[in-house]
Amino acid sequence: MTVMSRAWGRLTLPGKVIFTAIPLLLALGVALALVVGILGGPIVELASQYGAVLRFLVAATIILVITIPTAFLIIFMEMKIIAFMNLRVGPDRVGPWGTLLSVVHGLKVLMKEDFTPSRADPLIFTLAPVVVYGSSVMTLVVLPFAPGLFAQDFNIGLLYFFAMGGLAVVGLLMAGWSSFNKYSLLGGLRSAAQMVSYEIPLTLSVAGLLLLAGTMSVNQLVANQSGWFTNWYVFQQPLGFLIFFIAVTAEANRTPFDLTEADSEIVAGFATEYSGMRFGFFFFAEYVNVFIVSAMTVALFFGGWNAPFPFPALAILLDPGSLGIWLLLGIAIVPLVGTLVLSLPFLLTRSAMPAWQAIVLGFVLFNVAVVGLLGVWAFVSFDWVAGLLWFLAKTYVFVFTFVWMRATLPRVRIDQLMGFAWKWLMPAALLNLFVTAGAILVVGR
Amino acid sequence: MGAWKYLLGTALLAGILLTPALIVMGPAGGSFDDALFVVLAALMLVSGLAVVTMRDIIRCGLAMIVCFLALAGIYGVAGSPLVAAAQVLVYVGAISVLVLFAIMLTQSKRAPSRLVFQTQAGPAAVLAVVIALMVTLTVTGTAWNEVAERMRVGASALAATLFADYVLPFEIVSVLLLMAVVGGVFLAKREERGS
Amino acid sequence: MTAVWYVVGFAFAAVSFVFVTIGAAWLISHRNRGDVHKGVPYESGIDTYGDTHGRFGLSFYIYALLFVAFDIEVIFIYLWAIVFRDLMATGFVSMVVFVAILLLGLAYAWRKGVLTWR
Repeated sequence: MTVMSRAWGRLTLPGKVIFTAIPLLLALGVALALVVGILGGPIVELASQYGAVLRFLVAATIILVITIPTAFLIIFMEMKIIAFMNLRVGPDRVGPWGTLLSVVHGLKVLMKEDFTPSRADPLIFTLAPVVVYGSSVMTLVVLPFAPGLFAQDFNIGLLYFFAMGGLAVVGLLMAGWSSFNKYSLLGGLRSAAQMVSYEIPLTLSVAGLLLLAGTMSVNQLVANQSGWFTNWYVFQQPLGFLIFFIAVTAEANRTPFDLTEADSEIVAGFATEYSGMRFGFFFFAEYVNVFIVSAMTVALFFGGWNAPFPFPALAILLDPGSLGIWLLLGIAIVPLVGTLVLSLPFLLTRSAMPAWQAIVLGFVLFNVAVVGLLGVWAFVSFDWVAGLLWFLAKTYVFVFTFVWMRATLPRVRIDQLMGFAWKWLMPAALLNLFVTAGAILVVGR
Repeated sequence: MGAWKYLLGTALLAGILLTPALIVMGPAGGSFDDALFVVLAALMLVSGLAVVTMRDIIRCGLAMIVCFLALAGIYGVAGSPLVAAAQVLVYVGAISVLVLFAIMLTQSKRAPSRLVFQTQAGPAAVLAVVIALMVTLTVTGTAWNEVAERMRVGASALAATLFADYVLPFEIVSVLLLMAVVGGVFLAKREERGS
Repeated sequence: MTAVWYVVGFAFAAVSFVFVTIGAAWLISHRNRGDVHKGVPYESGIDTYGDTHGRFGLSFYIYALLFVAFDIEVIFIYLWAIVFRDLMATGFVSMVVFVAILLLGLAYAWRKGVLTWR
């Protein structure tokens, strides 16, 4: 409690106003939801009239909001997994297993002083994180999360993805230049040179895939990989995948290519002079980038939202209305019986436990079971639920791989880094491209 | 307080960008796409003016990027997303970065690049007149109605035309790029030896 | 046509999201004026000396230059890749010639040693 009051005392007056306003806004949101629920009809009519606009608003809101928990989750994964790999405990104080620590980090960054160095160029200094974060979020527009669950399907989706990803270079240069610090400038120039060098093998490695698919739309590429997992492009383009993965690691500035913020060499690179929320957005963009590049790897080479095997379509066709009185009876009786049945093991085996605790436990277990069953039902009967789950599961495998790499691999030297991109990756990517084209010529289709 | 200056600037910019759009949507009776076109064109003009009038060369470079982005948006409105993506990829992602690199590598206290602009006023004036004449000729010599109709081309149609009818120009592009690379490397090596 | 609206609108949404968050953080965060030393660039505890925006090696510039050439190549390759099945042999030959000419540039840069970081 004292912590809370101390934190409260440190807030400025507008801060106090905002923190008081948050619950009010929440209440307003709930009220709005209730109004929409009650006056549904006319609103739905209005929405169908402006369907495209509504779709845009919903997509933009969801994508922007979803980046926050994604970044928190990846930051927590990074802290905890690296801790386990180093035989440490890792975060364990805030929330169960320390899961809320990254939220605390986020709040901390939000409340830190946001400081502009006296000789910095304030306009460019402020715009740099906007450009970096904006460029990484803009790439999410073409990412297909599940069948029918994407913001927009462009014909030139892949080109759009690389074009928007390339904008981050400008942001890094802006940050490095405007800070008026030698470390910042060196870090910005370094990371820009690194990103432009690796963008060539990155874009070329995907060209072989375009040869096979004959389209640049990411949705179409994912749809081409349906069926058994042998249809995934990784089995037809192993070299392409390898080059893509290495280049994408460099693009996202992850270990072993994290020379951008090589803290033992150039302090914190382009972010040296940043603090508060403007620093927070660089940090934020980095973790969103990890998610995006993992998701893109999955979408391009690992079948996106496709399951690894075609599983039989099981549509459970149950009309609740046809059950009549039994439905009411079921609603009344099933929770009671379920709770009692699930609490029985505790009642029988743990004699030290009071009965009410056992029943509460049983109720909790019953709810878990119901949610699980509902999940299974949704998984089976809705394409997009299954697709989303497969997509996220595969994506987080790659997120884990990135974290694993960070825990294991040492940083490369900058001369190795640049030489590798131009002397090895680029020729290899061109070789991959022409071998693929030659194979298509020989096979003749 | 510096923040108010920027807020005022933003408001002014929004006014300049949105007023033509409101005129197009209201009295002129245009569609939403026309409005977007007008906003992007106004943004292009404003940022283009900023490029040539501002004193701080790095801000000029950034205004140039905004100008390129607005042009990409105009390509998109005109129905050619491929050209728009290429514009962003090449002009913003590559050429602007090259320009920024060049500025950052040559900027120093001894040779303030702010003054470079004023030393070439004569040739620049001649060039400006020539370009103005060329633009006038092009604008008057184009049948605008036909052009507007022909613009909508998909990526694969464009590619098919390019690789069927324009193979030789396509190969010549590579020679051009080769010349650029060799020239750049040559100059840079000479520079390195000199310093 | 809606695609352009999506991109422009999304850019607007993302930029306003960042600005609103930074603005909110600016309102709730604490501030103090500090003294002269607060605004000094952090260069490992030593006062900054020399020209901050001085000249760094030309190596960075050459990578950007090579990038321009090969970025344009990539766009042509993408266009070629999506229609390759209609072109087959002729397309293959024309792209091999195109890339070979460009690789001469890379070979020249390689030979001159600019790809090796110094």
